Amino acid sequence: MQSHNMIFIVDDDPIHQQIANIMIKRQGIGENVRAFSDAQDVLDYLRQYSFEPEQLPDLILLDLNMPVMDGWDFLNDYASFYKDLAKQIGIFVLTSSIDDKDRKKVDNYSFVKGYLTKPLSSEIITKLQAS
Amino acid sequence: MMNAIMGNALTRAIPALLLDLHGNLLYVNQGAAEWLRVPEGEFHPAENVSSLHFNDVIGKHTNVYWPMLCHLHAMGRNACVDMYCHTRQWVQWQLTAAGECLLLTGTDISSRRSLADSDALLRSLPCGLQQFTPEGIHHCANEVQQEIWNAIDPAMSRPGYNLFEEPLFQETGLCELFEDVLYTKSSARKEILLGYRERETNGVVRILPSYYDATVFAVTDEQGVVTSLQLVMKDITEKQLSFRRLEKSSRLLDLIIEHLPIGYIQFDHFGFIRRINHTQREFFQYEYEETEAPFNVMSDPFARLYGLDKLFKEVMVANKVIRVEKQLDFSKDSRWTTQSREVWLDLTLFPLKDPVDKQQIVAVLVNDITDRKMEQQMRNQLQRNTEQLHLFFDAVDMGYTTMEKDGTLSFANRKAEEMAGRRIFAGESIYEILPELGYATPFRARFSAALAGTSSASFSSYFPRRYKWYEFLITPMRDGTVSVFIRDITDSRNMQKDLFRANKQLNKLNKSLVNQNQQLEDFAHITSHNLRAPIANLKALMQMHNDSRLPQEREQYLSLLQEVIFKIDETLNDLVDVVQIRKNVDMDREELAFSQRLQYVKDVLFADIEKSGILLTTNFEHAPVLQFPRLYLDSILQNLITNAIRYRTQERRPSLHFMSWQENGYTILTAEDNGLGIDMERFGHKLFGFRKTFHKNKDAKGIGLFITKTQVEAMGGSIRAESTPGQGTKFIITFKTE
Repeated sequence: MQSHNMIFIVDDDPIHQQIANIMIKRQGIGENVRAFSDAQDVLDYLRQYSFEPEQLPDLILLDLNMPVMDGWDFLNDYASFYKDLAKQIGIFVLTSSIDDKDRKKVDNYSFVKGYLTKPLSSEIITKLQAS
Repeated sequence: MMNAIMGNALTRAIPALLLDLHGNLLYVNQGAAEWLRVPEGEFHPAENVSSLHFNDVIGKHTNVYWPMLCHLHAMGRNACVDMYCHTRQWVQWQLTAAGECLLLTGTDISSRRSLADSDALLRSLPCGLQQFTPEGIHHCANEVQQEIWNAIDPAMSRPGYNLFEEPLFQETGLCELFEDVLYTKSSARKEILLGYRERETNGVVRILPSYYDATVFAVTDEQGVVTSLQLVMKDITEKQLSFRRLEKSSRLLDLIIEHLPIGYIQFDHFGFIRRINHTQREFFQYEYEETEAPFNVMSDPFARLYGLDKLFKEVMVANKVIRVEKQLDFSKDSRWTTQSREVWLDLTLFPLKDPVDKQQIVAVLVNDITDRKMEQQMRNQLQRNTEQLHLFFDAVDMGYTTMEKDGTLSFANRKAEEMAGRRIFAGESIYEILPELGYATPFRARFSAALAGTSSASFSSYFPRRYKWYEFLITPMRDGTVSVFIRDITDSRNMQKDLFRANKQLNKLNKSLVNQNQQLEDFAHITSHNLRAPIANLKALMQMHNDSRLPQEREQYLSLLQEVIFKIDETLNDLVDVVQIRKNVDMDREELAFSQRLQYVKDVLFADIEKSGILLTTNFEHAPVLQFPRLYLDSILQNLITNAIRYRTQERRPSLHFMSWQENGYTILTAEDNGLGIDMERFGHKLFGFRKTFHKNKDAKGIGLFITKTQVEAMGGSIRAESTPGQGTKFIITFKTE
């Protein structure tokens, strides 16, 4: 089983943050799980530690529907600098949207590893481990 | 005794009558009895037997009666009377006294009487008479002759004058005349011009010639020797002038006939052409040659072909004028003319009596009416075409009229009359038929402009009094007239209107459906995003709860479940509110004063307003009231104020300014704050979304503007925002007014 050292959960829903945190830790795919309500904070973090691979997450679970900065804004901004990061980060969209338009739109971002729909389940976490 | 003596004496001497003083015959002798054709002898007037009176035997034959004769005698004058007796003798009866009686003696004066008669005859002659010796010496002349010569030369009637030496006689040919008579001894006659004289006619003095008829004859003795030459002259000036005038008239008539503007042909009694005037010759383009056989209307094949012989005959027999129009094809004849074409002739044939031989002749007036006929045929054709055109236009289900530019109608088809509601006659004015044209209406202006224009113009107009829509097509024609087509488009207009209305309703419905569909999609989206997420949480937490064996964990999960359920409930309530608003699109509107509703909201939000210190200002002067559901307007005002308070900046005292005005039939309300502002480029499209927040404000739920937008749009309005980050936001709401 692959274990990720650091996993970022980007979601404005605090309950979902707790659920994800508990499930990830219970499944043992990540030891260091950090939750962000504001996507802008994540981008600022990544930019700050872009040259420090040990500070960068291995995986980011990104919600799309968020206030102030949503998932799309995050992806657009991330696209502009992810190649400069010292480490390749696996980004998964984790959203409650089952809209096909969103799914197709995500395909446009090559660095996004997958489109996952809530709720986060053990099956999904298994998929994450596989990736 | 006395009577016997007298009788004897008288009987022997001279014819005599013895009369008493009363004129009664007492005795008539033989001579007197023969002249007077009365019995000879004594008469006894007292016995009243076979008495005779002077008046019976002489007076009534001479018109000289007894009293007149007695009167002359009593006056001492010569009392005599001349009488032409039965014996063809002239007798002069002389009255003389004879004692107590009167004596009437008769004398034969026949010889004296003839000489006196000759003088009188000469004096009374109505013509001049002049006697010359055989040598030409003037002998005598009567007064008339002397007057004639006096006017020319008085010397011509003086003694010793010799006519053979007179130049005038030589010039006029009178000398030759005398010489001829002298030679032949028979009479000779000549009309001569003897100078000129002035004549006044109607106040105008004219110099006119003096014509005389001169007759010369010789008087011979028993041996045949010429004893004298007699000249008889008669003034024939009047006759000559009349003759000249007649001649002139005749020549004039000839000229008139020759140059009549119409043709003239004269046929004799047998149908031969005797005269063709210049006009007719020109028309025939033909010159008659003497060598040709004369043309006869009764026998000429061409004349017979067209029945001209019968016409001639009819005029001759019936002796009446005939006028007829004939179409002749001259290409079938070469004798009449070289025209070689078909012509129409107007022929007037009339009979005349030849003034000389008294035979009936026929004159024909020929008028070439080919052009007129052709024109008439064209006009007839044109009229037929026009009638056909009119029939065609009558059959057309469209009003059609032709008119002058001043509106005077020349034709209107049946449909146009139906539209007008009455018969339309040529010459009527369109302005009388359509009273709507009589006023200064837009229709009148357009109609007049189209009439005056040079190209076709069409327009439609509504006639309120008729409840009709008419479409007009006005086309100026080349001849200066105008054709007007009128179509009743009321049905199509109504259908168009119905269609337009239906289309509008359909559009409205469609818009509403699109809107509803959009709302449904939005709602689906909202439920997808805002309900699915907590449900997913529920699902996850339930799974986690079920999987957990640790009571502590399970307790934690239950607590989270409760929190999720609360969130779901809250979201559902918000959504129910939205659904309610969208459902109530027909909410009752009422007239609301902005200032009053704002005051109410300020009272509700009193605490927040006080706490924030926000400055609220208004200008509702230009649109103080609004027809709107009160609940919604209160909610809108509350959300706008709450928004301004929630997103105020700490850098300055918050303020919010409300303003309203009318624009294009809409009421506009703006709410402009000086708060944080929004990056419209980034968040503009999500500004009024459900559960959308753009600031890290914990109180923000992202529902206020969504509700506001829903309420405004539910009542047919719209909302938009203008904002500059750091300066403030301005919301502009457009309310649809009913």
